Amino acid sequence: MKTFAGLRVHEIVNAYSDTLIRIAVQQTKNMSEAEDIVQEVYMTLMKQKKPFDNEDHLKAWLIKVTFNKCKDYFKSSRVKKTVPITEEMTFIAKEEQAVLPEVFGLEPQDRAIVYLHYYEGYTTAEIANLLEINVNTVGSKLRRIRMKLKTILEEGS
Amino acid sequence: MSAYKKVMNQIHASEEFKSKVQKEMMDYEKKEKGIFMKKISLVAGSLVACAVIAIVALTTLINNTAVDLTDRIVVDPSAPAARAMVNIDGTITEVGEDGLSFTLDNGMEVVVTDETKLGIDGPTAPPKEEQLFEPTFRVGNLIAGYTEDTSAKPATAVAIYTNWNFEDPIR
Repeated sequence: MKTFAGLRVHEIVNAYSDTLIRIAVQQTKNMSEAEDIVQEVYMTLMKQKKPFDNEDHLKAWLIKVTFNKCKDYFKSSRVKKTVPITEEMTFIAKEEQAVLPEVFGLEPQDRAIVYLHYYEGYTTAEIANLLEINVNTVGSKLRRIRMKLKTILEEGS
Repeated sequence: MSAYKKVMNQIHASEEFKSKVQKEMMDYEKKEKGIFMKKISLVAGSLVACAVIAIVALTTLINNTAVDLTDRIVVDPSAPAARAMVNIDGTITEVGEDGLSFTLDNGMEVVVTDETKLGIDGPTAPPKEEQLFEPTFRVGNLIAGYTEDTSAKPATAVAIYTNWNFEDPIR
């Protein structure tokens, strides 16, 4: 059976699907599109011949490919522009649904930065590497986002 | 926990999605393995075919070398002159798989051994390359030779003096 960084296919799907779906949902604002994108990411992984050093390397690769697939999605004709975000996210508790418009109000790249930093715990340098942008840009963007989303990002909010 | 993290926690991949993706990935792997095995069998098949061709070619080469009967003709002009006695006489109608046994049109079965003397010897013998002796026994060749036991089936040839097809000779 095929393994990547010592993990089997089903272990990879179980370990990383939530992260990849969250990234894709925040980019596309659409759950079914996010699922299609993540599925494409996994199929790209199956075709990948280059070995991964470890699980962190594999995770970073999956995140990077997910972002790139999302970018491709926006260039394609598949984009659904009219689906209201909260309609798609009915599984989110009503009192917390107010957070979504604030997050989705950010630029796509800023959404990725805030997720990778505040949820996944990546450093600015790691985010810069993942998104292939300047580390100072990540820092300044993070400061701006923190100001903008102060209420929802604060612990205990 | 921040409101952001609470919301993010609620966004996750469904079990249905995970199963579907896992199945697709496994199917892809199976397909990939199938293609790989196909390639392997193709390569193996080609190698086997090459090996068979090589063996056949080598065997043919060895056989051809082994059955080049003219190599065994030794002309010794200093050998004493003697009258050759012929009691194997006829045209080949069938040749054995080993190429060294044959049946004549008179029904006589003849086998040629390592001890069988081939060609004509003696002071009156023509040079090897001029003797009426082909490299192999083949159907249609005229045979003249001698055996000590004409009643044996097959008769072991002591000597084969002539092995020639006058209509279509091969030297």
